[in-house]
Amino acid sequence: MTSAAHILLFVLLGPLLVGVVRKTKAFLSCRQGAPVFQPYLDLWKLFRRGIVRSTTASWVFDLSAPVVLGASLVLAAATPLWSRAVPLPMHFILFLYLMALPRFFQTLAGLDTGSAFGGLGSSREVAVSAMAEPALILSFCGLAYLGGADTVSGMVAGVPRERVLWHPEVILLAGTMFLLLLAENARIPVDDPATHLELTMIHEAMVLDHAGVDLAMIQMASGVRLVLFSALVSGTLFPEALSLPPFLAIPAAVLKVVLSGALIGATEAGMARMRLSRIASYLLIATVLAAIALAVRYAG
Amino acid sequence: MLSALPYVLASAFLVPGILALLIRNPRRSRVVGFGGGAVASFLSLVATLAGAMREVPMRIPLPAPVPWTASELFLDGLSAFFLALVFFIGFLVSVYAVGYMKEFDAHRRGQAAPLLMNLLLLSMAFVVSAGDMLSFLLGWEAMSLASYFLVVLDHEKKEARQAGLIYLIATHIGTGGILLAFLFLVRTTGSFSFNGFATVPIADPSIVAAAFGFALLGFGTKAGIFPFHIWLPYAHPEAPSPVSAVMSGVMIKMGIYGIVRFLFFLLPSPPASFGATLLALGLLSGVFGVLYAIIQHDLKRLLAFHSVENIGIILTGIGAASLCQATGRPDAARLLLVGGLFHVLNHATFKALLFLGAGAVLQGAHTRNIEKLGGLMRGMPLTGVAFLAGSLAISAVPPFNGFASEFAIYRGLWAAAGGAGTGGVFLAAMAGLALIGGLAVVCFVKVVGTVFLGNARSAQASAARDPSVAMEFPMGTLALVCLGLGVFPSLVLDRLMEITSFLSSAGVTAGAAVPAAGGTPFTVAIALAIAIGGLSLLRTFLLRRNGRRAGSTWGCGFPYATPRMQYTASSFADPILHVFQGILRPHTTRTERLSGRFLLEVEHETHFHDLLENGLYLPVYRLFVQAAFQARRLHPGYIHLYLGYILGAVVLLLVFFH
Repeated sequence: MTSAAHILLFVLLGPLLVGVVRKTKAFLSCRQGAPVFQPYLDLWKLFRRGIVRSTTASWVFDLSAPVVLGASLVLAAATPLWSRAVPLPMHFILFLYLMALPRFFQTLAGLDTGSAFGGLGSSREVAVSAMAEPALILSFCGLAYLGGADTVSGMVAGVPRERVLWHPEVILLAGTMFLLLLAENARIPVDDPATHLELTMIHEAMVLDHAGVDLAMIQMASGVRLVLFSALVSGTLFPEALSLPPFLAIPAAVLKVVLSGALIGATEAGMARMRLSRIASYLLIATVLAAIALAVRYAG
Repeated sequence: MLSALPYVLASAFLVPGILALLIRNPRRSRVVGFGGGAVASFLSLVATLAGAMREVPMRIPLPAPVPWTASELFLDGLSAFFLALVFFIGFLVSVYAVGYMKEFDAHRRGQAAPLLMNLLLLSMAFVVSAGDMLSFLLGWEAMSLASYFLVVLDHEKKEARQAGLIYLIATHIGTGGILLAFLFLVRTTGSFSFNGFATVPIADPSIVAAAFGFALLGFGTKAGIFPFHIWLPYAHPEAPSPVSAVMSGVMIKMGIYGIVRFLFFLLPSPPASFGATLLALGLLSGVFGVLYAIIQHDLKRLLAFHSVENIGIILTGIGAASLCQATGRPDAARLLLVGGLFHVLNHATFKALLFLGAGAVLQGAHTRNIEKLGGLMRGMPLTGVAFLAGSLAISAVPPFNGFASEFAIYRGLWAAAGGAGTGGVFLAAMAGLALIGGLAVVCFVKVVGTVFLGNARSAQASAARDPSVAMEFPMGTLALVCLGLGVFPSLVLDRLMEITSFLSSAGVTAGAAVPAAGGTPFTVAIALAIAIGGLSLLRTFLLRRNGRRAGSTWGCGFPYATPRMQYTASSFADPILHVFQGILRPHTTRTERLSGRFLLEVEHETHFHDLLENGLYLPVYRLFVQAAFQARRLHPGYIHLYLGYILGAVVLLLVFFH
């Protein structure tokens, strides 16, 4: 029962997070913007639509949306959002490698329709993720040391309270995780989720031939993954929020998600998208930051 | 009874091979030769799993090949593990070859293939069970020669002859290294048998270092470790596909077997520097292998570079294990060695699968160039599914077996990094492995996407069909094993924990390789199956309600999208190429043909300069050729001069030794 509630919370908070990001961005660039709850309405609309399926596509395309959403939900089941206990505690290496499963099918589906857009998006998506891999693993190693556990939930929940905030390791790790959040979730400055110009986009190009139910599942999965990363960043910074009683914990989780959304939105509003060739150095920065955090641990 | 076993085994493999030579009808010859090999491999596999693995250590005396020496087969847990690997892959590949080798029916020499293949399998079985240096080297040479002749089976093609030559040179340099390494041991211990090496302690560390150095050269060349991997990307593509599967899946692992045998059994307490060297070479092999793989267009050449990558991952595990053993981390060492050995098995499974799949593609579409393929999932659905399973496994995506073994290596590295001191090395290794894993995903999304998905890029690709049952059965079995070992890794891990119990006896059980609480590969696989299955059902239900239409792919409103407008494999690899251009060194040339002010034709070519080939091997090769030309003056063809040489030699011998 709590497992279902845990996963449902991820599913429900995803569109909210996306809505908050968009609203913040609109507010900071002096626009009105769509209502915060617009992403829910979009999903509702898409779930009731049929699809146009490319005649070129094979069963891989049909399987892609369920795999992307399904694997994202399994990942969510291992991520602490409102309590220390999670339905499926997972070793952090398994967690990181499981992230490759939705990516594999998503990028294959991009190539399956025989469209140049899909290929372009897929190619960039896998390249960015591959280069983010060392930073991800190093920052998870740092977190695992900090939390004294090697499951994702254990290490986030185990971050000692007195070290939070004014300790360099925590700041560095949370910063790295935030850089990776932007890179892995198709956010500015790595990708621009708002554009439909094929020269600049990554994620949107890849899902161009998905429609209706498929697109809804993929957008839902994107929301779940964004909540997941936000939970990791905010969990590192405020591990106390995970040990609150249930009636406070869920509002705290919602608050964390809203704050993350505002932070992401502010970052996006204040930045331009990088040139693609700069992404490698961006991810290298993240890697070095994570390595510094680990070095601090060895020194201290 | 036991002493007859080697003869029974040898005749079980060789008699069908010889019969295949004698039978006139090429089809019957294939069935007898390869079929016989398959039956022999299967029975031997059963015997190994059911018998030998429980009876270790087992010694079987052999007649001595050289007077005053004793030869024997010596089977311990490690040998039995590799033996099972040889027979398992040997069985499936032999079944496949029955169907595939019809390509060679027109040529009489195709009928030599079963004998060579069976000899290759038999000699590998001999290598891993040899108990002394001489029988080991005999098996090793038989293996190298049999595989050489299989590589040049297509000797009408210049590429095959060239690949064969490169392989022959490489493998003999390797054998030279192994011979020297053994001689160092023989000279200091006075024994030819492996047990003799292990019992006599070698005091002089420089002798140990020299033996290790030569062993690394020798076994490293066979295994395809960077920078000795140079022969692999030539020999694997040119060999017939079942041969590539055996060579890449099993034969290069003989090099790994040799390194493990030397490092953990024959050399007395190797210092930390050995393990550190192997760890560094492993990571280098991994990164270089996968980077070079990403830029390939030839399907089999690409897979060959992935062998370099996976050997790198295996070596990372083994090297780190040795490093941990030397620095007092026995539990981590054990996990790492288990992970490395498990990856040996897993790589054999998915790489054999991928090479067999590549063979099916080659037979169906008659090209290895992935830029000419595409959309094969429609014509070859079974091959496509199997190849996709292999790709997920090699990219270490859970719940497939490639992940299971890398997971064990990661856990070992993580356990080692927890200790004080040099822990940072192991963290760096983890980051390196993560990069390799990410790049492997890039490469296999590229391969599956361009070969099996989208539109066919040539007429022959759209005409390709699934192969015969003899070829489908091994691919399907291997795909199931890839998934099975990923979901139930403890089937093998438990066994490997026993084999490596000499490293640490502390209560490390298989549980250490598989995390106990939740999130085991099994529970994750179940969770994935439920989630994906449920969502697929939901999707089907919603689509039935909402409706689905077939339409053409979005082409910005233009209706005439052609297969040529698809993303190509080269474009797909371009972002990675761009980032790593310092290593990959692309050279582009552009020639324009103008007529007045009008551009008629543009030619655009990109080449990659292999740093090692151009920087190291070609100059050395040229030096040798020059030296050979100089040495030619010594034998101009005059008999009286040669008689003079003999006279000179006799005089010199008398002067020095009398």
